[in-house]
Amino acid sequence: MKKLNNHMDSKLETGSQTTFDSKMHEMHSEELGFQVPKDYFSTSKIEILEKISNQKEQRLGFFSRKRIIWSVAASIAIFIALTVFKPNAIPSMDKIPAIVSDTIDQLKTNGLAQVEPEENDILITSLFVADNEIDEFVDNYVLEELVYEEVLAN
Amino acid sequence: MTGEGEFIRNLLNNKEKDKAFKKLLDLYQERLYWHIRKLVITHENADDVLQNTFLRIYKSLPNFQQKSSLHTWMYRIAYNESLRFLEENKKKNHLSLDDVSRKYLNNLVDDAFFEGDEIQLKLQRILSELPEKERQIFQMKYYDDLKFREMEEILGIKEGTLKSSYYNTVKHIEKNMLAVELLSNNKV
Repeated sequence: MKKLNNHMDSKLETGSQTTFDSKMHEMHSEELGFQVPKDYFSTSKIEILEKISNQKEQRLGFFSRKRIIWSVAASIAIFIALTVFKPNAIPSMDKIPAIVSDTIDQLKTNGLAQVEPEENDILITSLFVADNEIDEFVDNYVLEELVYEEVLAN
Repeated sequence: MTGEGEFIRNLLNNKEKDKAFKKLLDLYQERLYWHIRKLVITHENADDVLQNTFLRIYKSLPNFQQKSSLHTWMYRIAYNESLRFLEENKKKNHLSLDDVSRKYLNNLVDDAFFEGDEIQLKLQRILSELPEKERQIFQMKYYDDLKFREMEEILGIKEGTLKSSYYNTVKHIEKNMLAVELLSNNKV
C-alpha cells in the first residue's frame, strides 16, 4: 500500500497541487479500483459554478421582490393613513406621479402587491409621520430607490 | 499566490470572492471528491454530494470564523454532507448507517466507475466489514492524509482514541490482506 505523505495544510501552489491530485487519483484507482468519467473534474467545476450563479440570481430576485412588496405596502399604508386622518393633505390621484401609480398598478396586476398592512400599525404609524416626511419618503424612496432600481435592473 | 490568510480574506471579500472561490475549487475539488467517494462509494452519489458540499461551502463562507484551518473546515462540511446523504438513504431504505455503506459496497461491482480486480475488491470487503467509525478513521488517515489533530476536529473524537483505532485497523487490514495474498498465490 502506498502513502501520499504530502500534507496540503496551507500549500496553495498550483504545481504541487496537480502532483498531489494525480497521486491521489492514482492511489484511489490502484488500491480501491475507483474510476471517474473522463474530464469529470472540469465539467463538475463548471456545474458547481453555474449552480452558485443561479442561486445568486434567485436570491437577488427574491430580495428585490420582497423590497417592492414592503415598499408598496408602506406607500399604501401612508396613503390610507392620510385619507383617514388628514384628508386635505393627500394629493388627488391625478397629481400622484404617473410612474408611481403605474408601478403600483403593474405590481397589483402581477400579484406582487398582496401584502395587507395591519390596520392598527397604519393608524399608529400615521400619528408619528409628518406631512413633509411622507413627501420626502415618496419622492426619495419610492421614486429614486425603488422605481429607478427596477428600471435599471431590467 | 500568497498565504492562506490572504486567500481567506479574498474569499470573504465580496469583490474578490468569486475569483477566490474558483481557486478554492481548483485546490479542493479532487481531494474532497475522493474523501466523499470513500464514504458514499459510488461515483453518482459522490458527484451529488460534492456539488452540495461546494454549494454549502459558498453559502457558509461569511460564517467561517477561522477557528480551524480552511482545509479542516471544508473537510468537515464534506464529511457532514456525506453523512447527511447516507442518513437520508438509511431512512428511505430502513437500514442502519453501517448497512447503507455495506449495501453500496456490495453493489460496487455493478458500478460503471469501479474497475477493481480481486485484491481491490477484497480490500473493499475488508473495509466494509469494519465498523463505520473505524473505517472512516482509517480512510481519513491513510487515504486523505489528514493529521490526527484535524480528524479530532472533524469527527469530534479524541486524538488518542483516533490513533489507537487507526493502528488497530491497519494491523487488521494487513493481516487480512496477507491471508488474501497467500490464498491467491496458492491458487497459482
